[in-house]
Amino acid sequence: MDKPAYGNLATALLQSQSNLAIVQGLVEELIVEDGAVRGVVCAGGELYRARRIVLATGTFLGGKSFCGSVVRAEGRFGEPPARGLADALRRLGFPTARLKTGTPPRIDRRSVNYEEMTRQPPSSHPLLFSYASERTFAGPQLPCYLTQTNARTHALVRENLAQSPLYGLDLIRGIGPRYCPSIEDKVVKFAHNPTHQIFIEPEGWDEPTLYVGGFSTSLPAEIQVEMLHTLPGLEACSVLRAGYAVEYDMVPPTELLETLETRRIAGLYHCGQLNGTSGYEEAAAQGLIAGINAARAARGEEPLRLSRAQAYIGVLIDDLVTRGVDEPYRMLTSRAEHRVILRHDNADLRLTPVGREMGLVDDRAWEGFRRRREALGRARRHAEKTRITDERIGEERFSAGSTIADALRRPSLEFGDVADRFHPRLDEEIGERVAIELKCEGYVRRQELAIEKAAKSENATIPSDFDYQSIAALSAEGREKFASRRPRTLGVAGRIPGITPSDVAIVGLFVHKGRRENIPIPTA
Amino acid sequence: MLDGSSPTIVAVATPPGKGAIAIVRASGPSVLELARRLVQTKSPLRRRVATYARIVDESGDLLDHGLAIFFEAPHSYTGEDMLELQIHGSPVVAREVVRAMLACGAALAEPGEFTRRAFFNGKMGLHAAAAVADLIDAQTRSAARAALANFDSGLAHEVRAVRSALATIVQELEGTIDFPDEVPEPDRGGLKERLAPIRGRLERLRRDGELGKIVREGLGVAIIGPPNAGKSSLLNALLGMQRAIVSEIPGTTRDTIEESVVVDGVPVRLIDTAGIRAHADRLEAQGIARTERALEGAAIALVVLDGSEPPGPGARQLLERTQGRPRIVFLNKADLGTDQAFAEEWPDAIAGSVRDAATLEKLRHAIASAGWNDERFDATRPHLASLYEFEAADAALAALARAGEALDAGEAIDFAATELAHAFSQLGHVSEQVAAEEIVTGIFSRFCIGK
Repeated sequence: MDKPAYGNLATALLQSQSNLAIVQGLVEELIVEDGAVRGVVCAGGELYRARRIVLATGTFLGGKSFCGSVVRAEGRFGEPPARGLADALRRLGFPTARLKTGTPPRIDRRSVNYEEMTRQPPSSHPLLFSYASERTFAGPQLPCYLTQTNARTHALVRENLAQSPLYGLDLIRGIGPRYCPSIEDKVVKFAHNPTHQIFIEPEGWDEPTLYVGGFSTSLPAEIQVEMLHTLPGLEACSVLRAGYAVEYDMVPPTELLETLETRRIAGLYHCGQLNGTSGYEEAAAQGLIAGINAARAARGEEPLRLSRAQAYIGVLIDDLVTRGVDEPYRMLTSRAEHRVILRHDNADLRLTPVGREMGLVDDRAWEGFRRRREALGRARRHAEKTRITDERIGEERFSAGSTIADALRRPSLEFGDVADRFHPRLDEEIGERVAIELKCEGYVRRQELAIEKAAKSENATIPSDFDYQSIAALSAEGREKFASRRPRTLGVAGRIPGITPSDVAIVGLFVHKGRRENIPIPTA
Repeated sequence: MLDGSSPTIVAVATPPGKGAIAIVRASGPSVLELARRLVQTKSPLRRRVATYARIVDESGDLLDHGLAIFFEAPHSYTGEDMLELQIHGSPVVAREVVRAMLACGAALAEPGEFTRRAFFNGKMGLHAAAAVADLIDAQTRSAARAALANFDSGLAHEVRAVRSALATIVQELEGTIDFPDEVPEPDRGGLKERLAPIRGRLERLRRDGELGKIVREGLGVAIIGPPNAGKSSLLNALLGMQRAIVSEIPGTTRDTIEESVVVDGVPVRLIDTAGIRAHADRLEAQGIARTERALEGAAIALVVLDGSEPPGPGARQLLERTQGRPRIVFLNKADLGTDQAFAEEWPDAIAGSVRDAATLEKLRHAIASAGWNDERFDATRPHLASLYEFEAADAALAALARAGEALDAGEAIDFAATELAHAFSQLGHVSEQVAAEEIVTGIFSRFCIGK
């Protein structure tokens, strides 16, 4: 991905958007009337009135950077932080906490000896984010390179820990992500690992910079140079910019509704690192949902909520608002209990119709989607009803009456093995999708059953004014947590940390009072 | 006695699902208050007498018609005041009755809490003490486990050991899916070898759990037999000194009655059809249906026959019906002589008289050993004590089996990972999200992740 090209494309897209005015300014104050947000005031005194406001503060809210003993008030290298806004949020009663992230040094690509590193060729079939994209950006895919740390690197880290703002200097209060440890953390916490992998990644076609992936650090700049020079291939590299750690304010996402609107101030939405997440996709997902819901609320429309069974976005937001975060949150597949359903190959089937309903999928993209969906259906039907005439494909044997679909269900066979049995020839992408669908079929069916079973409590709405205090049968902890979190459904209630199944069952009994439904209750 | 502050608890006592009747039980200091608000009868409730009642909710709206029985402390199962409502077997009605009781201030009973109270109030014989103490211990621990607190010894230790062995594998699988650069994909053959002992230990727990279930619920023994074979006498003889703890319900229209006794240190539920008089105008079919229901809830059939007479068609029918399941055939009235046909056809039968101490001893021994399938009961061995734990172990075993199949079939590693993660969350009694967090923590502490 070419960084400048991406930035240019995104900017051009925004500028071509109708009804969108883009202004720059440093927000210092939020205007709130009767518990609802009404506008923002900027550092220069400019006032912007709005009934819906989405905050996306990144690492800028109270941002502070650390490189050795050098501490700067900045949200990113050379860019000033937003301090007034952080104070404004606290004045409104929002609790805040400090999180930390870091970035590795950037080096000059012309100063690197590629011979000493392992080349990682680009994928021959790059996966695109969306089926609506027809091609990658013009221009070649560039290779990355792999090198590793060694005993000399680790010794340098250890010798200089006293100068680390995280360790010896003890300047950093924020909690960093475990999945993105600094090289200091790696050396200290995984002392038994003799070596760590370092990924050398180009930032663009015409950019001189290489990103030293896996080498995030906040040790003093001169030590960073010494450390880099211990890595094979980087012995003589010149450092364009030193790595640094950055600490920033976040507001606990348990302050939020599933729409990403704050419970405290109506019309105010939080997204991205402000909610304690880290990562581009996490930020983009929340920005999308906050934006959609702010716009829908402004028009008086029902909010959009994606469920855990529907999208990773649903998992992300449910995790955030019901469980909260105690370190920067990153989406991992292991967090999604329905991941057999939440596959990237079926993302369009799951979500394009939702996007269309939200008015975000234009006619052309919608037509393309419908064509793909029909083609998939046709291919699937052909696979299900077409018999294989030979009894062997590859290593696999088949009995009479077996179909192409049966063949594709075998783990060892892929679409390529049966491609010539589709007439007319099937688009490769469609064929591969059908193959994945068939292979996952049994698992998907079982998960769908589980989802159906859970749907009753997932959909059982708890009135927002539900009186938990009056139910003596609830545990004290359950009563307190329910009363403060106000779960919207029984399903959400059950995911609040520290809640016991019997507390949920008891609330369920009262929520369903008088309803002639069979809600199971525990027997003793 | 429990101290006066222990709340009045309520639960549905019959198994989930639709039966002919459902029983809602409440126990504790305020059951009379519950009865006053929710049970409307023509004549006042009398102790241990089933009274026809309108059962209403907290605002006086009719929920159902049924029978209400009040047991006064200490003459009840738990030793506390108890109220038993027998209502129609619709889960919806039972739920509404429980809800109404909660609305009147009762608390939902923890699994096994009635038994626990019975024990604390001295309603169980000394012999059962060891077994029940183990049960209570296990329940306390499972509550603690729900909060992910620390716990030690016995069952919890074993479950935790199994779970942590599983965690190691799940971390590697989940880790390799999210971080293929840092976490190598584990070797499939090796995986299966590592999963086998985990399955073995879990199966063992499951099997022992059957014993735990007996500890929890008592071993069900159905006393069946033709009229006048001596069922009532046998029941009374078996109850013997235990009479004081019996929650007898005379005059009810229920078609089976359960009495709790301790036999050779084993808590036993005698499921009894004897209390129901066989009226001449009742159809034979009703008797059969009653026997069937008694057998349904029982682990062991205790067939009582009049051994002094040649076996009649009724006796033969009962013996055929109980063929192939754990049973004890008791030929009563041996003091009047034993018929040769019996002795030849059923050589394992115990012949004797309920009035003879040695016969009773034989029967007790037979019940106890049939209950444990000749395994001696060992209270120190870990049991899966609660129903939740049972279901969890079953679900985990099923998931492990599916993971094994997915690995055998050479399917993508994601599938096995999904199944194993499910087993892991089941074994912890935690939601999949909580389990995911544990796994993620495990991955990050074992593997150095991150660019």
